[in-house]
Amino acid sequence: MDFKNVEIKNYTTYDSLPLHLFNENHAIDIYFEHLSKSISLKDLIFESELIKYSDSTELVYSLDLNGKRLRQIYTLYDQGFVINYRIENDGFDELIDTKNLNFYWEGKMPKIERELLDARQRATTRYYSISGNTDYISKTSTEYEEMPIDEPVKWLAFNQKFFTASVIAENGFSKGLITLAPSIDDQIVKQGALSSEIPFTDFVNNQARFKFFFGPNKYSILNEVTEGFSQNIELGWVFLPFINKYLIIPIFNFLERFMSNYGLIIIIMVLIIRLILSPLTYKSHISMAKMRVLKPELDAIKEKHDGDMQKAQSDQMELYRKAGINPLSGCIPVLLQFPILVSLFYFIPSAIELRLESFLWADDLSSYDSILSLPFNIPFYGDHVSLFTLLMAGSTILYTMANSQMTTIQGPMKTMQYLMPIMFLFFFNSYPSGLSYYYFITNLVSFGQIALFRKFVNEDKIKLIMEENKKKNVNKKKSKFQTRLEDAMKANQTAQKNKGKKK
Amino acid sequence: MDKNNIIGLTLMMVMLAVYFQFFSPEPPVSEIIDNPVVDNSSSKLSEKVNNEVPSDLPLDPSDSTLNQLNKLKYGFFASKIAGEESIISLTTEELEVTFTSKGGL
Repeated sequence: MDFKNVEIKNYTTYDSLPLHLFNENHAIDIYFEHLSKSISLKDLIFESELIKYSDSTELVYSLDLNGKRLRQIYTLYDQGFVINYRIENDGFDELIDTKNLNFYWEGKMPKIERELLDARQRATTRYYSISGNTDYISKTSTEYEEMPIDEPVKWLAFNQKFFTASVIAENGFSKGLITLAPSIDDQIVKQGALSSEIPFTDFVNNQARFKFFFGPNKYSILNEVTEGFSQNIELGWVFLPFINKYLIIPIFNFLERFMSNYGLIIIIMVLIIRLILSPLTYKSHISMAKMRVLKPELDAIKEKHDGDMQKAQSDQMELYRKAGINPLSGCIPVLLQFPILVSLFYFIPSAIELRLESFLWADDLSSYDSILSLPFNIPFYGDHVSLFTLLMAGSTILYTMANSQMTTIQGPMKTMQYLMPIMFLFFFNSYPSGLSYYYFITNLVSFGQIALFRKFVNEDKIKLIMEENKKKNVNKKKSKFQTRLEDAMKANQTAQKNKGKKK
Repeated sequence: MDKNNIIGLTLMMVMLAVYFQFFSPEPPVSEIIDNPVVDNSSSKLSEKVNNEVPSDLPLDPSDSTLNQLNKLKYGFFASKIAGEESIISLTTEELEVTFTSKGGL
């Protein structure tokens, strides 16, 4: 009884070979003690029987020892990546002395992606407990590590970048242990083991039912397998998984139905997301336009209180209040866009849909594109030149330049704005080309959006409205927050003055 | 940020780059090879199911000796150790699964 080989038919390795998630480097065993000898089901020869149903096939392995029978039944459905497995006991439990039935699966995760280092940094062993706790062994660890699980376990998995091999216990395992170790073999990503105990009463009462999963890390597939199984895709932290699950992935899957070119899908996805966000972008644009209109007056204030920052600031606040603009309204919409950009940072590198998909000069959107291989390694950069990353960094600089003509940001922030794209250039050079391509398209679309807004937003009109506001707001009561802010500023001022006097 | 700040930052970057290029610590490859714990993890199963004939026993590879050894090792289960291993392959739309009636380590 055992798997010998499991091939995922509709996928291949990076070099177009059959993809075996389970092979001679893997072994699953169930063992127990009989008269102080450890007996492995793996060593015993079973009788096999094949039963065909309309939509499934059952493979029954049975063992008969003087009337004490054990049956292992595998059920394969025509569709899906799940193999059902159950153990039937007919008096066999009397042969097990310690009333312990141990499950052990050891395996070496095969190299199936081109970038070995990246694959290694995304491979781990993982568990999910009945009570919903989940954890995995550090993906970047360079030594043998183990993680005991002291509570009933729902599933255990070998989790690679794009594929997962897992065992799921329908009624839970009693406890478990997962291990992970690096490998020096360049055909092996990492090696590890999943071990646990099958609850003995489940076994005696024929309730020992399991599922094996061998398949791709695709959200729609994993989500159907069992609870918490979508943990096998890294979708980010805190609230980012929600953005991915309920916004990004549905849009992506929807577009997939109509086209097969993933470069195009990404363009349309950018357009849709920008469209959803456009009210926010519009608001921020208007508030920036207002600031720009006010700039001459702000400069005058600065000149008037030359050197006295605090006085200048309180006058500035007064001006904002009169004109009826909230200085924060310019940056809050931009901040709200940020989570979407970051959630894509998680989604695109783990999207199996982009795996081995070529677009223009990038032959794999899930890996970096390279237009030039350098004969040496530049620290933090690598030994290749990714054109999409160059385009992204370049377009970010252009975008910032175009934007800075309109904003009033000055001083260190201005330099930071230009430093960021240069840091991106290093950071994203080895990241999936799909990601830098997405950010590049986002920049282009934002560019167009701003041009559009400029055309339709009349600055003279804004000026007029603000002049009116000024007249209206002269007698308007200050908001609570603003009064408090001004009070605090005044208190601060007097305190400093006192300090100066003491000196 | 004035000119001096930028020069300072750039110099720090250059020094970091130089450090990582020329003085960075070698990855501890040999440690991994020597690490006995790693070996243990991968050979635990093979040791357990290893049913080779120990070499210090009289070498008589006749069936009866093997049977005796199996009896010693597997007791009651000895009768289910010997026999032909049969292999069955099943194909679905997504998977091709090969089963064996015995573990093929």
